Order: sequence, then C-alpha cells, then structure tokens
Amino acid sequence: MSYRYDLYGSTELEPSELERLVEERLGIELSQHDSSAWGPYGRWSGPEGGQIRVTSNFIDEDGYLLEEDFPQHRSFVYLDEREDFASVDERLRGIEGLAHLRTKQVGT
Amino acid sequence: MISYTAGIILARLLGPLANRTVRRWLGEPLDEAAETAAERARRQATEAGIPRGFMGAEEFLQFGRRAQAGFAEAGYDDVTLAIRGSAVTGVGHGSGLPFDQGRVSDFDLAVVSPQMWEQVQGMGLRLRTGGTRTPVLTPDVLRQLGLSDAVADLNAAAGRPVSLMLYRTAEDIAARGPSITWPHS
Repeated sequence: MSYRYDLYGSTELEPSELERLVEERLGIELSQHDSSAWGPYGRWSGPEGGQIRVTSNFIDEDGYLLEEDFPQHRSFVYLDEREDFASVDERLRGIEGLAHLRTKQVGT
Repeated sequence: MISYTAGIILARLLGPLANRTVRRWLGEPLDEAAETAAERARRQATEAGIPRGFMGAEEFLQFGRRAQAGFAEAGYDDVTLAIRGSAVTGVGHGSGLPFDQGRVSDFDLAVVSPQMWEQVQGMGLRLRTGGTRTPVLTPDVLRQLGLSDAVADLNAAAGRPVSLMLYRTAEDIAARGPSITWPHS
C-alpha cells in the first residue's frame, strides 16, 4: 500500500484568505483548530479518508518555523493520504498564488 | 467532629481510596505498600493536575493506557508520555485563546521512547532545540513509524486531533515548559 502526502504553499495569501479559497474550490467547510505544534489551522477530513489542513508558517515557542524549507511562505495546504488526490490537486492548482511544493510517498 | 474510632471504621467501610483520605485526616501513617498500582496512578494523576479536555483522573489515565497499548502494538514498549500546550497552560501559544474557545484545541503529546528515537535518526528529520526533540511528527512520519493507526485511535478517543512530538528524554520535555506526565500504572 502506498500513501501520498502533498504540500502546497503561498508567499502571498494569508492563511485566512487561503482557507476561504480552499473552502470555495473544494466545496468544504474547514473546522478550526489550535495546536502548540501546528498553530491555529483549518482541517477537513471526509469519507474519502485522510485530511486537508490549511496552516500558517507557524513559529513555535522556540522560534522554529513549521516549514523551515519555505521561510518565505505565509500559508500552506497539506493533503495527507487523500484517495481523491487527483481531483483535489486539480482544483487547488486553480488557486492563484498557490504553488505545489512537495510530494512524499510512503510505502510501495 | 468525627471521633478517631468512628473515622477508622468509616475509612474501612468506604474502600481503599476513602480509607487513605480519612487516614490522612486523622494523621494516620499511610501504608504505601498497601496502595494498589491503580490507586497510586489515580493519586499521582490527581496530584499532578488533570489537563483540560479530560473529564477526570480516570478518563485521563484511560487515555494514557490506550496510548501505551497502541504504541506497544506498533513495537514501542518503552514510552513515557506527557501532554503539553493549552491543555496544560490553558491558553493556545499561537491563537492566545483559552482552551477550546472559538477553536478545537488539539492534544499535543510529548513522547519519550528510546526505541522510537533510534528509528527517527535515519529518517532525515531535523532535530530542534539543541537536538533534544523532533519537529511535530507529520502524517508521513507517523506512517513510516507504524503509528498511524495508534494516532487515529487516539484522535477518535479524544474527539479531537492528537499530535506527537518526540523528545530525547523526559528532562527535555520539562525544560521546554509546563507539561503533565501520565503516571505509569
């Protein structure tokens, strides 16, 4: 079994703006969360499994960025283990100012 | 005013926990050996304080046992577990909001496991805070560590997302700020 994890990011969009655009594009409503590790973020998990999260480049208590490889980015979308990846990806790529940054694959 | 004899009788009638409480009132020495492991865990949890999001000591302890069982099933039987963040401090570091106010506050768990620590060494994670901890374990890392099912189970049990961060030692958790450790039961 193979699992896919994708990261999208924006240097322009604020997290709240990106949340709104993701909700519009995907026709979903993100639930609002708060975590000392992820910061304030929006989350959605549906019947397809996996999850979608929209975060800021949160700075933790020790001053570390959530995504150290992308210090210029203000906001991110994480797609984790989504079975409907292809259709979600297509709709996310339509958001102006949002770029695909990384794919990780686990398993065979 | 309760008499000494009546107190002792009452203590015996009410069971081990009440027995201990009444004996404390009476200034009686406690027989620590007579305390069961479950009683000791409940007492330690109560003394340490119950994090926000748990209804009481028993629910807190049950969650810890569930986590330990899940980690053990994944091959990690050496776990020390603590909780940090707004469940302990009462206020979110990022949002500045009180626990569960306006947003769902996640449970942010701090894990010490030499077995898990050894596993992550070869995974290319950048250690933080002087090499004492990992970043938050992302879903792909949890999958590689075989912890996805255990975390999904904890999410369901907690009714909120649970995040894990791995620490080198329990002292490293304490050095980062307030936390509450699950007693070993």
